[in-house]
Amino acid sequence: MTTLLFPDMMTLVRSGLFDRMPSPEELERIASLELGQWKEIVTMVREQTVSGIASHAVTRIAETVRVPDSILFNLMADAERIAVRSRRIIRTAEKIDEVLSAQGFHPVVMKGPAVAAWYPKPELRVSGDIDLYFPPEEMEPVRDWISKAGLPTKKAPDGSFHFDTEGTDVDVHGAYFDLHCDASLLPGVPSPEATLLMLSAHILKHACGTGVGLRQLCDMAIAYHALDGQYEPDALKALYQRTKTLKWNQLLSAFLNTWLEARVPDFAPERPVSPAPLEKIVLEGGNFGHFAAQRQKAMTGSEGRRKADTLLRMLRRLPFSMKYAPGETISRLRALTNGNMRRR
Amino acid sequence: MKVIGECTLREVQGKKVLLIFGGPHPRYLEVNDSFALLWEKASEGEFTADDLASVLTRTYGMASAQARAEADATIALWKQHQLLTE
Repeated sequence: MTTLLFPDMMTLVRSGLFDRMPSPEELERIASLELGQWKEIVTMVREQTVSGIASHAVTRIAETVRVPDSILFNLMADAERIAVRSRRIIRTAEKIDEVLSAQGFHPVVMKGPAVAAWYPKPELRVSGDIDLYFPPEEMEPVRDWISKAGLPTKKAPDGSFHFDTEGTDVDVHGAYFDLHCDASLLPGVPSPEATLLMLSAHILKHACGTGVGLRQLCDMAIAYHALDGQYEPDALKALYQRTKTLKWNQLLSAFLNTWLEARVPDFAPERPVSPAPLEKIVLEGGNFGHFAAQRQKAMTGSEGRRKADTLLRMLRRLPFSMKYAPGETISRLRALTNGNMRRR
Repeated sequence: MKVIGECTLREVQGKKVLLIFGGPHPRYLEVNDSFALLWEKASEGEFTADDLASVLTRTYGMASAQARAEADATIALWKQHQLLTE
């Protein structure tokens, strides 16, 4: 993935995400792009799974500056495909929420379909699957009910389970946060603070593992934007401090403010924070690191090969993880080791 | 025969474009007015070459034989671009 075109790609992502026209200077830069450069940008937004957002921006920009037809129309075709799938996933999430709530359960739709609602065009946010949270005490009764409804479920080692419905993968979690800290430190679910911490911790988990792309970072930016005024920045900072993720969130804010102009709290770092370490991760591998060198080869290999590749990437990322979230990193490694020892 | 569902016809900057979003890679076709007219008819459901020829005769006043030839050529083009399901 080329770094030279990263600023131009981010101009489009920013514009599509917040429905803002680029500045005259940015438009001038976009207008000067050659076809080859446009093609690279299309590849980049596809690898970052933000081509729907980019399409929204390019369609609008094309009214003002010349965009090659092949670029405009291919991005529009991307957007149509994304929209058809996203609408189906959003509808399925709403249906599951309604059906399970009617049974007296307390589902909380997490991540993708929940955050998509805040996008200017929810259907253009790429959604892969549905994540649901239930209070831990409801997990077995919910699983039981779903199985009796005729949908086979598959349990994962961490206590979550999976089922398919209407062509959509659904992951059900009894843990809302991808964090290994004392539960008493965590906010109540649902709440604005819980949503922000959940999204941030999810990005951290993947940044410290195989990688993370722009889609999740856009989610974070739009969540801060949508929840502005519903949380207290100082209280959120305190929460990040308690959960040992403050330094990570300062880096995340630096990226969101620099590249998405998201205007999120910076949580008062002692020194200015450069977003470069997170830029590097985003550029290296795209969506969940799938496009990193050798990763695609590992993904099509055996389960053993995939796990080995994942572990190797986590280990390579240790300098980053230990710098930005040492407490969480050590707790995660401890949990992984204990989990592997238990499985033996 | 029927046209595939994963398509949508749009007018963009004065051009008519068929956006094709099924298959491994989204793609597009820039089309003319008569293609768009026949596509709209075909999108209603099952159709035959005669159905399309009738549209051309009604809209453009074409002679039957010519309209049928145009309809056949359009169907061949759609087959070439994998836009039909049988």
